[in-house]
Amino acid sequence: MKWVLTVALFFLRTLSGETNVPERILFVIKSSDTRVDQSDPKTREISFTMYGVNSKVSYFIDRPIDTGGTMTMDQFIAIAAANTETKNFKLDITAALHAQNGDAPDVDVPMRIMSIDYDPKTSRVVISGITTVGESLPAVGNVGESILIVSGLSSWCPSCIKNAPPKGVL
Amino acid sequence: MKKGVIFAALVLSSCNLFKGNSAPSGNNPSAEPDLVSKEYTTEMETHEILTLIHARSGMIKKTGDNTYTLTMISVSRYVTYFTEPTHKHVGRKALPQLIDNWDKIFAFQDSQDKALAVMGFSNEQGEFIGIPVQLGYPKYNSEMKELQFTVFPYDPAIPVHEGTVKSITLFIDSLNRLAVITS
Repeated sequence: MKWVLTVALFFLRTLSGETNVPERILFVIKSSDTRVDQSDPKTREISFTMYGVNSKVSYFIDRPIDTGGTMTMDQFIAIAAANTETKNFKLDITAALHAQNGDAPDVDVPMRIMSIDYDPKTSRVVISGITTVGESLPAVGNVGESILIVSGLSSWCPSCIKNAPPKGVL
Repeated sequence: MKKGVIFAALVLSSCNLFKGNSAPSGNNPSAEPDLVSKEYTTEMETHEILTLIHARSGMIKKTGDNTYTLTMISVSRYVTYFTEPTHKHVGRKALPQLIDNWDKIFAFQDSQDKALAVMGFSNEQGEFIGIPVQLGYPKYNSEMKELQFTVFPYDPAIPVHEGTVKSITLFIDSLNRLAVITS
């Protein structure tokens, strides 16, 4: 009876995905200044330019291997483009922009990114996306220093796992 | 009969049939996916959310053996959250909604109300640094826009940075796992 239960639980857990929790990789992109170029509360489309972007993108994987490192912006763009193409968009990545916005309240924009263009000569990144909040979109204009967090799957970047030593998990 | 009931309970629990995950599939971004608070809390209880808290600066002080206090200054009024990456859902909520539900969200963990997180900030060279920590006992002062945590080191080999840091972000994983940035 015991082994029947064990086998049944194994298959059920596998079917439910409980033993296959997807690994999340987070990319962190920082800029010294940001400008919202276009925002439309009706369609929730937004486009913005990040200026003075760090040439290195930090990443970390939060499960099951707790590790991280850096890659170049070019590498990040290539990874994103190779892994996220969908029927509807060139890209389809969940991300969140946080900008400090001078004396005004901080700007927090969760979004689905549709396109990213990086110009290494000017250290500029131009992004367009669809926000997931219907209200209080930032108006066109400068919003200051910002950080963009991009959430993806660690399978996008096998070398990110291969090149980094595994750390213990709780 | 008793064995049958136990077996049924095990089957249902392993199937996760009662998981309160109502996030959209993510294939239709034109649908309004911002979750209502009840669903947000339910999702937090299923251990699937990664939550971000941003502040313009932070002060970290050692207050005892293996105990620190982190004060987030000019903390953002919103927290951003990501569901499991396959769901492709991202949203935001008011900061008090996380703080007010803190015990409920993190009480299930063995660490007793302490959340596992990466404390990320910029160093003097502008590089992003991440330190794994445990966070507990949040105190939010909305008038001062300050949020305070008691911080416990996750790994004795990775010291908690003391002093003032700028552009601090907390990556709080409600799953009982942890990440570390080595850059």
